[in-house]
Amino acid sequence: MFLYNLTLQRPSAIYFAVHGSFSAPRAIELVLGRQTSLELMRPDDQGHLKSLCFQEIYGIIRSLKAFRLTGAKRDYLLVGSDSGKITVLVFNPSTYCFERVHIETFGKSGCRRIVPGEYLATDPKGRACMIGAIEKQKFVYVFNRDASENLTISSPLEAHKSSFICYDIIGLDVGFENPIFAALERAYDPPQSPKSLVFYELDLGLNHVVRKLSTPVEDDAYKILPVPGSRDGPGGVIVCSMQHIRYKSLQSNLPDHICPIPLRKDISQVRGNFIVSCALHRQKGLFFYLLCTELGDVFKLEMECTNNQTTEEETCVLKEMRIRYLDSLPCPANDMCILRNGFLFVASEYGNHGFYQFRSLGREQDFCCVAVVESKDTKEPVYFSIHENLENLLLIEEIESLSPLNCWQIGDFYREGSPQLIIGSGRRHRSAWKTLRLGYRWTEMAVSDLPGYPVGVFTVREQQQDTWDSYIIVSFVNASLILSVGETVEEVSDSGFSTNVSTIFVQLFSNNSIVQVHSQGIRHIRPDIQTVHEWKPPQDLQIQAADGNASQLVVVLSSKQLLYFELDETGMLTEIQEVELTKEESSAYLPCVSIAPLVSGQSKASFVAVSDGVSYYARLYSLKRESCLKPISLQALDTVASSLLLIWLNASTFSKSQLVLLIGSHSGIYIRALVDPITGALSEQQSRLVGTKPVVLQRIEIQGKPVALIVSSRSYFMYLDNQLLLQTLPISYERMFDHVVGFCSEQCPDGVIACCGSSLCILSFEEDRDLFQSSHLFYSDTQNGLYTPRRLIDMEDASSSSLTNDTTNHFKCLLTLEADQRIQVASLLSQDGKAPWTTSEEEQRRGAGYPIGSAGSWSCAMEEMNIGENSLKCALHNTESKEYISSICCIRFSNDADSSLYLCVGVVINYALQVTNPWESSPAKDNMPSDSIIFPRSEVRVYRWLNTSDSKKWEYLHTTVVQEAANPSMMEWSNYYGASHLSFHVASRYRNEIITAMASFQGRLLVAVGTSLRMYDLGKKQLLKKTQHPRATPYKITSIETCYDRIFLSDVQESVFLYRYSAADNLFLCIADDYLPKWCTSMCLLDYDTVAVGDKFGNISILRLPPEAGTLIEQDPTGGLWSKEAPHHFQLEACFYVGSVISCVSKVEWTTGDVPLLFYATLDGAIGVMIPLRSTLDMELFPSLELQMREYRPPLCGRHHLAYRSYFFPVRHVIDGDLCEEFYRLDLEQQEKIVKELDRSIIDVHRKLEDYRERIRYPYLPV
Amino acid sequence: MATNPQQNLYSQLEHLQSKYVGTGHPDISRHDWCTNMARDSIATYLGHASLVDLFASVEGESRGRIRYHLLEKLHSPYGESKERVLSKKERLTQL
Repeated sequence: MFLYNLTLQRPSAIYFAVHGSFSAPRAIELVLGRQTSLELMRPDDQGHLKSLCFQEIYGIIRSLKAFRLTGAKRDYLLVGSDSGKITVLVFNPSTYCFERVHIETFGKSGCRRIVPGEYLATDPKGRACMIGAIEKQKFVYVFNRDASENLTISSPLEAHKSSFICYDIIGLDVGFENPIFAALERAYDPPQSPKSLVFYELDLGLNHVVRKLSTPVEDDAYKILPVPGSRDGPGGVIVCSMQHIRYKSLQSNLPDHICPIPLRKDISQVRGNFIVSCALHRQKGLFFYLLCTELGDVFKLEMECTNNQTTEEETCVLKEMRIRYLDSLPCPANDMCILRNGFLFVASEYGNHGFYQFRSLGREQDFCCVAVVESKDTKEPVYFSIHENLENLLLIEEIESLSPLNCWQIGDFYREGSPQLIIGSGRRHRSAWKTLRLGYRWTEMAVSDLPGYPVGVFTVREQQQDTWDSYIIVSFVNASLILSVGETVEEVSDSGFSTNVSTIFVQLFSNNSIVQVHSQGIRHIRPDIQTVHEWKPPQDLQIQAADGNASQLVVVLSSKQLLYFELDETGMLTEIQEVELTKEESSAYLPCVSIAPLVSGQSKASFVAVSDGVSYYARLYSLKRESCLKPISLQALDTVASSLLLIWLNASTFSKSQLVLLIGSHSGIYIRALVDPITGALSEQQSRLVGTKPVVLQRIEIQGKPVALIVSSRSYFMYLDNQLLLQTLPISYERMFDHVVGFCSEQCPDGVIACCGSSLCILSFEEDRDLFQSSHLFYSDTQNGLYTPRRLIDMEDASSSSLTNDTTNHFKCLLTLEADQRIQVASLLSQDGKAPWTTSEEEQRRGAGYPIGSAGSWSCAMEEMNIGENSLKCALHNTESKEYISSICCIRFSNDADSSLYLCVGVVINYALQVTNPWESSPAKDNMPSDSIIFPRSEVRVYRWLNTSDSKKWEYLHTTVVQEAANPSMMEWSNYYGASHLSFHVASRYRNEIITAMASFQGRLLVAVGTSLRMYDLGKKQLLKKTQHPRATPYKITSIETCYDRIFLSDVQESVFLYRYSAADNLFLCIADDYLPKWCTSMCLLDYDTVAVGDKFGNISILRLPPEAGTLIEQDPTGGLWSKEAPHHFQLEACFYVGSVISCVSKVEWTTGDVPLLFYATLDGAIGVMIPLRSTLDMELFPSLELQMREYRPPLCGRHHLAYRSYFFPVRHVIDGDLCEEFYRLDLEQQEKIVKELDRSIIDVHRKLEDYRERIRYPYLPV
Repeated sequence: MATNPQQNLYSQLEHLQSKYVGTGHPDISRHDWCTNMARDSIATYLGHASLVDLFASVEGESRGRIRYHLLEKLHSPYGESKERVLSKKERLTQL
């Protein structure tokens, strides 16, 4: 098995954001750092963020900083990654990508404890940087310039200190004195050692680093910020701790200023307010910080200074420090950036990223808290009340984020003909259920009914320099309707157009005259004096097709003659040449013709494409003077062409365009060929079935970029994206188009006008995402959820028969499980299982969020997602805050006579999840008596689906306790060994004995409780335990998949176990396990022997039971009953490292009749697909192409691609399609070198790559 | 050059121990080994931003706080060592 991995949707979580001028001096730009990729964004004049460049670095980004050399105009980008190297990048504006300037190795690769990369700090004057590890190591690099103004980097200077944990590193602003870096550190030894702020001075003269000074700070300090120094500010450091922020001056004689961090009214002082991110704004004479807390509250930290001129030098001293509450963002920010033009970019932790504008920088009435000079009574908490709406900020734009993506279901739920992805994303109050569909969506701007069925529609501008279209011409069988576009669209009669004929073509010429081609002739309307020239074809002949550009016009007569006109110097249309296309005059189909549009610098196009409507060919004729209307190339078709289109496609203004010929046929197939712009030779022909109707092709412009529309029973949109990939994506609109034309007006700058039957629709793209970014293939519909989505299950999965018998409701119903810890809802919970939030509170909580509760206080809800009504309804809610709903399962019990549908809900009582919390009391650390530990209890509640005419609801049946709370006295034995950590292990094991997963198996319920697997049947008063395996997996079962008599269990740590249920013995027998550990998060069954597993560390593996093992199991008379360990082991079929936590994997039949594809999603919002390779030829081509690509495009930050994809396990049988697709971005010379090695042609490679890329674009199989 | 090869080897090992933090040795105590393992794991979690995201999503905290918790946990992930606890007890008994 060989798989081809492609990213469909890029990760949307942004962890780092830095601003600066990267592409040009004074440009205002942002670099966004995602887990494995970099993106450069620039806001346009309207404040919309546009992506300039996206680069996958094939490595993990751990820190990102921009710096600028003194006197330079552009910024460099500094990346700390997992490659064990420091990378300095510069943006190359001619190729539009980041390029390496320097890459310096300092350690091993990987995110290790003592290998620097985690922290990065730069000197504000750009003279040096410090790169630090979590423990021990720190390096300082000195930047300089050589004679030709190039950046140079020194060899590293060590500033190591072993057995010290580093919490944060910053570069202090000291003007042009020796650069100083400050670090927040703590020693391992002694255990009670305090945190200290350590200053490292880089002596530029002696070229070494000294650990200059260390001052103790609060024990709960976690973040330090540099304060602008020299002339602009007092300099020094701000230390953030849980309760307050402290300003520390570099001058030792000055006292500290302390300002409490204001708290929301419902937050306890002990918990404090945690500052998650901050942004510094600095301009002449003004600087301030924005601090964002973990609840999303934004504070402005103002510092007022006085200038002291007593000494020789002018020094700046802090006079007053204030914290002012600005606004509350919907969720905390991972990073924030204040741009120079007054915009604020917020990379949200969950929910959409925001781009804000400042309305004011804090008003008088906003809450404000002033710092005091250190004294005893600074511990008093300060409370503030939040703004319900944004008052000082204004939201300009949102960038959609799918992060964190927790669960999904894929299928054609809406019966649209192609599958949709329903995903659960976001967290807490920003949780959302989104329906993702492939392609783009058009929204209706206006629809109007027409008197008849139009045969064509055209738009035309009045003058070349106009930005908006002036006329819309709707053509009927024997008349034309002329509409003028102004503030409103209305019919006009004085436009100069003929209205009593059927219009075939309309074009604005370069001299601002307009030509209207109709069946009876050509009407040439001069702009200045409203004179009209008419050209009439010979007697008894009609014009059947026409096309033109700003200076040329071609028409086809009913005698199958092609006439070529040009605009001469006097502004008149003159006939240049004519040619007979075919001898046959009668034909069933109309001919079609297309002439290439003019690109800048061209006065005439050189080619015209014609199909005569009779033969199965499309021909390309030359329009050059010397060989006018000579045929140059020919394309054979399967049937007569219905439409032709010549189009120049370009990725962006900097890249060169390519001329493409598109041919649509009456059978619904379209063929694409590249046209050589000099010779006119056709190459790289590709054909696709796009629909069941004759294909209509149209050229439109969107955001100034040429796009081809392919219209059939489905419509597509073809363009070259910023990564130079030719993309074809479906367009979603509920009606079928007959004719389409591009339309551009003030209200609708990137629109189209479409004829659907007898109505005329004006449509526009509603997307705010960047249209031309590759790997943004989906658009979404959002429904708000209550809490963080955890699980999504299909009610009908329980059995093949449909859930409800009533025929009105064809649509499915999905059940969602949402759960959150630390939400304070105890007082609001009601017994009837209703959501505790009312609709008005609903609105409020979307803004401010839930009150924070303690660990172990849960809010869980099960909602019904009705696909037909597009609604979410809370069906079940936990009634006590200590109840945690961990899993749900729909099942039809085999021993139930009515075979009604049951819902089993796994509930855990007294469960707190806080593994990362270092202060969590544990028996090991605190030597606490074991009976003070509270152990969880698990139960299954069973509900029956009541489907009567008057009510449809889940009716409560009974509760079964599946796991009693562990008895603390059982823990006593461990003290026998005298080792406290042993009892800790035992305690944590019992604490993990909770219900984690349920599944339906042969009409019975499988329940996973910690490590044990149990089988239950339905009883009258409770579930009846049939059998169990006490230790089915070593640690904790995370999911169950079943297939006939086999049960696949994934363990939280030890990969997958395969069990067989032996009905005769009523036992679960272990058949197979895995050699390697895997921290499984999700699993999906591929076939009877095979599973795909996604794990916490980002690997996707495919495990298969060896074929001989299958037969052995069948033949074994004991059935493996007596073997202690698993008799067989899974074979690793494929393995691939994706780069971030895998949250779901699914096998999907994307295209009817095609092989199923493996879809996966990562927690940070990326969606990818693994496509099985088709042939042995592909299996030879792609590995060698990948090998070549590794050589020609090595990862940007110095990680080795093969090593990166083999991060935890060696990559096996998976081709990295994302890397292969970068083939398009290589220049021609390199491409040729590669294909020479591969013994293929460039066209071959392009076609192969496209083949796989387009596998998910079309609902039809390739022809 | 050290004359005793045994001594040389020993000093080399010692050098490696100090250079590569977390390298074990034959006489490592269970507590030390666990602490080193946990510290290495925590460092990996901190390095991969999406793992912190996962913890944050599971525990219902913000990413910032989870990062802080992990960094704090780095100090003594397995509590104080047994010897230290014992010596503390001894001291208490002496008092």
